[in-house]
Amino acid sequence: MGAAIQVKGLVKRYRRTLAVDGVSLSVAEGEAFGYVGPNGAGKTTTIRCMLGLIRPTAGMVRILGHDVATDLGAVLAEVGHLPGEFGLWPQMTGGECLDYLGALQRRPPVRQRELCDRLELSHADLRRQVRLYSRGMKQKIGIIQAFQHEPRALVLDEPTEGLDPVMKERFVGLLAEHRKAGGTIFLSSHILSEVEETTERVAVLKAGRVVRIGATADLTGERVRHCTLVLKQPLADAAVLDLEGVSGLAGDGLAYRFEFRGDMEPLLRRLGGLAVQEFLAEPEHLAETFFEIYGQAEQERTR
Amino acid sequence: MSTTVLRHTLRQVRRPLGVLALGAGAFFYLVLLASSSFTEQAPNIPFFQTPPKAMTAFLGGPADFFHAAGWLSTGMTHPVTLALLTSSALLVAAGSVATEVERGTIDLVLTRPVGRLAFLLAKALASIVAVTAAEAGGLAGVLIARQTISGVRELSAGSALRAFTGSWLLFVGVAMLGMLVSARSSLRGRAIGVTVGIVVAWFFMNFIALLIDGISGLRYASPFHYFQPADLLAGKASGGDLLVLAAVAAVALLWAAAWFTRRDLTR
Repeated sequence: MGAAIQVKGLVKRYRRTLAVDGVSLSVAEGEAFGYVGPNGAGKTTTIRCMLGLIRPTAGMVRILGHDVATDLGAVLAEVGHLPGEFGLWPQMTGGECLDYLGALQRRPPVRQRELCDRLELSHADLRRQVRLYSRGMKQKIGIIQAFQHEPRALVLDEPTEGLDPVMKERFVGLLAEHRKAGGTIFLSSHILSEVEETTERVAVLKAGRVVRIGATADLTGERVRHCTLVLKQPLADAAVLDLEGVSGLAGDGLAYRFEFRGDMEPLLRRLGGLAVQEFLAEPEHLAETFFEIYGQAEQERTR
Repeated sequence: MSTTVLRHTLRQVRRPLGVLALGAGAFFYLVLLASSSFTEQAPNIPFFQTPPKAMTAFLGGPADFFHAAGWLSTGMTHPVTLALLTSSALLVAAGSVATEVERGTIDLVLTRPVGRLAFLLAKALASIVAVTAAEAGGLAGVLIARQTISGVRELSAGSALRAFTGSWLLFVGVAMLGMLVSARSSLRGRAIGVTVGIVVAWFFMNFIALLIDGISGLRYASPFHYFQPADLLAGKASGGDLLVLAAVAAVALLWAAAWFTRRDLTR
């Protein structure tokens, strides 16, 4: 499968500030790609360069086979974009906003009605002026405008801001359907659980540079698991648990707590020879891996 | 040019634009109504025969209080007219880009296959429509006055049309200046403030240059110098003046396009 999104050596400098510093990444067609980093890391600047809102200082962006610098119109015709911070026209109704944005797209808004139903925007809601909308309702309009023309690729920046848990779940469902239909997703977020749930690969951005890129599962697989072991009979010697990957072992003979990193198979084999009453191995979430990566990057930077 | 953006923009400003057009019509009607009462009982006072230089400078040219055309000419550079027409010029123009950037709507519009130039041209055309509507409102007021007020009939429809065409060119220039400032700005308030500041500076540059002989050359730097309603009404206006006004608008628009197509759209 070809690359739907290709970013090579992207640099964006604002006078003395380097907002994006040589970002390179590739997203395959049909892939869901997460782009994570704290505020000010350069996520939104990357997206704005990808969609032609900002001119890169250096580097190249290709989306769906088109060079953004020379063929922006063709790119934008195939993309659905939800900006991180967007506004609507306050004196227009929600329905008018959707119709206007639909008319600007070269593809008809074929999913508008269905998406309004799924995100619970009623006819009455759509007839109200946007200035009367809550944050969540505006976000629903934002989501619908991004999806309504069935784009081939979605570029989403903090898409669930302001949504309640039910709507977040429906949004995750929409992403899953988009992927199932062969669509590509580029999702920038600082809500790491959302990225973990919806993407296959993730890039971690720090101070404008990609400090880690890989499969979301790999990143979470590298992480520490917090283990709790309860035995039926006391262990004569705790050294039996002293395997490679185990750290912070503490216990009283019957119950132990430790952290484990790496392949779990040797540990599980060892536990098979013990009278185990209960064993819990809670994986860290992407958030913890993220902070760990950040810590490493910070150490490397200060070295 | 994007007709969708044009329709959307005009729809957004239709009410204030209607009020401005109505206001312009009502103002010119009142000016001509006042002129009729004055010309009927015109006092033979030297002040009105030859107004002081300060007054003619402020009015932008010779002041003739004894004919409807003179009153109309004066009305066309009256501060109320300038305020109404500047407002109509900036209603769309000054906010054309800056408002959309400030509000965050530009991110939704320009991430669609619209094109920056098409977007800007649609906004420019909407600005021209706004100025045209306000000028048409003023002209309608004059034409109604011509039909309903005795003493105003001497004013020919053709001369009024010429004067309003000159005014239209001047304020299309103001609108394009607003487009230029807006194309560079991300804040609507700042864009409006800067544009109004430049227009006021133009006006006073012409005023001071007419008032003080030593700096009379400065008047050529002000577009207001090239709008002489008295000459337009009398059919004596120079075609070169109108060309300068058209050139101001064209240069401002081209400059705005050059800026807008190259700038980063960030708040």
